[in-house]
Formats: sequence, structure tokens, C-alpha cells
Amino acid sequence: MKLMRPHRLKNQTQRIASLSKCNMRLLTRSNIISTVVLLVALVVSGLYIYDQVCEEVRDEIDEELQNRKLEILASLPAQGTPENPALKADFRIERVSHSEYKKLKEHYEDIEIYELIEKEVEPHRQLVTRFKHQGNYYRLEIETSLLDLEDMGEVITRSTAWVCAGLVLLAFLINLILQKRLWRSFYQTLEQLHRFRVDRQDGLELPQSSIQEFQELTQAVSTLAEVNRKSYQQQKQFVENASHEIQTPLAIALNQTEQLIQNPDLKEEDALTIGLLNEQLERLSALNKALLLITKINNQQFGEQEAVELNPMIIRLVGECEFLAEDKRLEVKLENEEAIVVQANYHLMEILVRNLIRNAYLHTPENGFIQIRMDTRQLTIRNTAKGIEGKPEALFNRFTKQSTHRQSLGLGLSIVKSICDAYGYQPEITSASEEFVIRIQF
Amino acid sequence: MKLLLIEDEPGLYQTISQFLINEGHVCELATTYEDAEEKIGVYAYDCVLIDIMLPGGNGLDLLKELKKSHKTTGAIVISAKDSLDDKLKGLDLGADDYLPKPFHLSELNARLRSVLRRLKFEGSDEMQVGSLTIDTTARTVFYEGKEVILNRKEFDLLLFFVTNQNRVIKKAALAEHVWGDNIDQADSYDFIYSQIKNLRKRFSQMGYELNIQTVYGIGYKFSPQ
Repeated sequence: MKLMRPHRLKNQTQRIASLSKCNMRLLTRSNIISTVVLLVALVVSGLYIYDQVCEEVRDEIDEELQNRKLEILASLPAQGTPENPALKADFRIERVSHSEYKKLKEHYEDIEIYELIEKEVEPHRQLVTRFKHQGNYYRLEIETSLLDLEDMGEVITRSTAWVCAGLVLLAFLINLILQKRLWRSFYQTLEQLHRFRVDRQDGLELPQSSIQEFQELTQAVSTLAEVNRKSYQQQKQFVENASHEIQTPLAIALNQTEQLIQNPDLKEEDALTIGLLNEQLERLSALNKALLLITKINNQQFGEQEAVELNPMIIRLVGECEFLAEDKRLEVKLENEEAIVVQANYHLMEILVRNLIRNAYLHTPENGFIQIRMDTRQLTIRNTAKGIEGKPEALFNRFTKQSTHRQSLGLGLSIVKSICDAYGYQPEITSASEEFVIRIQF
Repeated sequence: MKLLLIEDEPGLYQTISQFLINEGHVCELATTYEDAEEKIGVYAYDCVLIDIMLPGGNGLDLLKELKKSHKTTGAIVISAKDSLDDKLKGLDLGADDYLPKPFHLSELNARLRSVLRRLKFEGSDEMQVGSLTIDTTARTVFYEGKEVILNRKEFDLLLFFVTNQNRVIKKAALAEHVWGDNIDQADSYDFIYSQIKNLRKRFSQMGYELNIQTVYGIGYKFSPQ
């Protein structure tokens, strides 16, 4: 099973965190969606209700107009021509020719009439119909105001709007309060997962929930975490055991050569052979140690992190190399000296800085210079050097060496790279004809 | 000094016990947890060397037991697990030192002497080495009554040579002792060369020739004059 490394996890959460800057939280999103849907649904249903009511009212008005027609026809004088009523009546009678009469079909129409009193145009409904009276043909127009309907529409619109607003607010509050409560265990689980480290003994304390989905989530997450922790432990165990198995025979062989060279009667050629043997054994031992260290770094098996200030460490390590500077007549300068504080494992940082500083001291030729510059988030080490062949970045790869040191393993910078990778630092090598620069951005 | 070596690996305990006997100690051996438990219970030792991984149990449990019954006995934990966890646990339980495998016998010797010195088994802090007087507590060196000024690393180096006098010390052992657990070991050989040169210079300025010889390119040997 492939382990998700803590630093990957960390990166992932960072990525998610950065995504969430443009994305929104689930609750916000569901809140917005439900609010919008509710709003649309309420508006549509409001319109529908309005339409239905209008139709019903129109039917009612039309029926009234029909009744009025019957009333008017019933009140026609038995003899003589029907007369138009006095001003301001709700109907008009007009005599028409037979052909017109034939064309005329009873129908309703919406018209607008200018009301003298209100001095504005108001909507009316009008029934246009015909009748025959004593052999003459007539056209009859009856009208009634639609103002009631308009008022009703207004009432419906207003009340729908209020209901809308109320419901939306209610839905919003429900989402806000109830959902927050319902989702609480989810967010607690998420919070725990953020803090989860496979190399820690303290397990997840996941919240209990009465919701089935969250119970399942809790179950799945616990199982996953446990499996991860177990396989991490196994891997760690394996690395340790492998170390044990390889180091023991190496230790025996090295101790034996150490004892062998104590013999004062040793022939010189034998001594040289032992020397060669010893050299190879030491190389093997160093390789094993270095590879184990890299494995450990890559597996993030250096757990405890703290705020580490690099400056005192740098000054101490530079101090330790002072005799070498004296010996090689190097000019060593510390520059800027801003405090570099990183959140990391102390021992790893020491290995990182030590490798960089010793690298500089070893590879700088006599009478050369070393410049160590400390900026708040950046460490730059610049030293005199012969130009290197090939790409400078290749020096970060395992077993790439540039030095003529016969026994150099070419692992020093590779360890630097591993540590940088583990913490997401940016290491960079540049090389000019007379200069070699390593820069680490924290 | 009476020592107990608790180690299950035949190849290791043979060399180590032979080495310790040659150094003039009485060295008893326990190769299993039970064996060691019995010996710790019955006899008193000046110092016990404990391997962590043992057949039948964990060496750290033995350490706990030892420190319960014999508080003044020195204890050095030796382990193939070069893990900080074990180191801290060991030191917490009262171990005087922790030595990861593989180690050089000269390193073991230096650590052992240092523990014995601290526990005052070897009398005073002052050592007479040839015409040099070394105070291990004050970390000072005198030649004919005059102090030879050494920095921390130089003193460490001198003390390492003195502890392992008349033995050939491998370059790697020197490098590791003075420079700590170093990864690209070969690199530090240059350091050692320069540092020995420096050390010699400090003494020659005082008119004393520090007798450190190179041996077949393998290592160095200090013989006091």
C-alpha cells in the first residue's frame, strides 16, 4: 500500500485551502442554491397563482356582463326603438345594418377608458354583442371596470413577495443554524484529518454523530487512518530492521580490520591490503547510513517539528570550520544576518546546514572566498570554485560527484535535496566559471 | 574495571570482549536477555554495555532494572537502531551514553573511559600523559606547567588520541568522533588532516612534539613521550 506522506498531505491541504479561496464552503453553496431555487419557485408560483386568480375573476366579470346583458334586454321597451341611456351608463346601444349585424359576433375585449373624474386611463372589460328588436338590428356594448382585478393583482403580488421574503429568510436561517449543527461532526472530522500525522501515536478522536452518513464517514476515516499508521509503522520497522541486519556484519568486519592493523608485526603489503579492504567497508557503511537517512527523510520519519533559528547553527558550524579556513587561507564572510526561522526538525536542519557549509569549505580552493548570506527566507552560500561540467542541478541527484575526492559518495547534496523536498524548500545551484552558488529558499 | 557486555551477535562480542580484555578490563559476557538479567541481579559491575535488540527481550528493560538496583553502575547502550527515539529513551532511563552500530572500537574505548571517568572509577580528573597534564573536567592541558591553549575540537581530538594511545586509530573513527555522525565521511578526512596539523602546531609552539604518526594511510597513532 502506498503511503500518503505527511508532507504530501500537508501540500494537499494547502492546495485545498488555496482552492477554497476561490471556491466556497459547502454550506454557503447549498445556502445560495436553495435560496435561489426557493426564490425562483416562489416567483413562479406567485405568477401562477396570480394568473389563476385573474382568470377566475375574469370569468366572474364575464358572467356578470352576461347577466347585465340579460337585464338590459329585459328592460327594453316593448314598443319603439331602444334608447341609449343617459350619460355615464355602463352600456351603449347602436343600430346597425343587417350585414353588419351578421358579421358581429359576441365577444369580450379589454379596453382602456379615460375617466374624467380620476383623469386617467383605467382598464375596463367590455362585452360586445348584438340583438334584434322589433325587426331592427342593434349592437350592444356593456362595460365594467377592471380596477378590482388590478387591486387584487397588487394584493397578490405584495403578499407573495412578503411570503417569498419570509420563506427565503426562514430557509436561510434553517440552513445557517440547523445545517451548521448537522454538519458540525463533519467539520470536526475534517479538522482532525488536517492534524493527522501517520508518525504520531495519538490517534484521531472523531466526533460521534447520529447521522448515518457521518457515522460511515467516521468509520471509514478511522479505518483508513489506522491502516496508514500501521503500514507506516511496518515500513519504519522494516527500515530499522534492514539497518540492523546490514550494520551488524559491517560492524563486525570493521572491528576486525581495526584489530588487524594494531599488529605491529604487520607486513607493509598486508597493511595496504587491509587498508584497501577497510576503505571499501567504510564506504559501504557510509553508503548504508546515508541511504537510510535519505529513506528516513523521504518517509518523514523525523517527526518532531519546532521553530528552529538557523543563524546560531550557521555561526557555530562556521566556527567549527575555522581552522580549515586558516589552513587554506580562505576569506569567509557572513552577510546580512537576518534571522532565519523555520518550522522543522532540528536535527534535519543541522544536517542540511552542515552539509552546505562543509561542502563550501571542502570545495573552495586555497586563497578562495566563502560568502554566507542570510535573508529572512533565504540562505545563500557562494564560494570560489572551478566551473562544473553538465547541469548544476544534477549535483542534487544521488551519486553525482564533481569532486576528485576518491571516497566521496556524492550523497551530500542529495541529502540536502531530500530535506528541502520534505519541507517544500526550493534549493537552487548556479555555477559560473569562478563561482559556485547554492541558494535555499525556505 | 569489571564490565558486562550484553550482546547476542557472536562476531561482535568476540571482538569487543577481546578488545576490552586487551585494554586491561575484566569483561563478562551475556548473550541472552535471561542470562543478562541473572548476571545483573547477582554481580556488581563498574559498567554495562547493553545491546537493545536481544533474544528474549529488550535491552532497555534491562537498563531499567539495572538502574533500579545498581545506581552507580555505568551503562552504555549500543544499538543498531540508529534512531533518536531509542537514544532519548535510553538516556531517559539513565544510560550514560548511547553508541549506534557500527562503531569503531577506539570510539567505544573513548566513550567507556569517559563514563568511567565521570563515575570516578579512575580516580581524579587529572591525567599524566608523558610530560603532559590533562584535566578532563576543566578541559585544560599543561606542558611543563604552561597551559597549551586548545579550542573545543582540538581538545576532543587530543583526548581521543590520549584515550587510545599506542593504538592505530582509523581516520573514519577520528572524523566521526570529532565531527559527529557524518554522512559523506570521506570528505572529513581533509578536515582531520588539517586539524591534526593544527594540533601539532599548537604543541610545537610550546616546544613539545606531539608524537602522532600516520600508519599505512589507514589511520594515526599517538604514542606519548
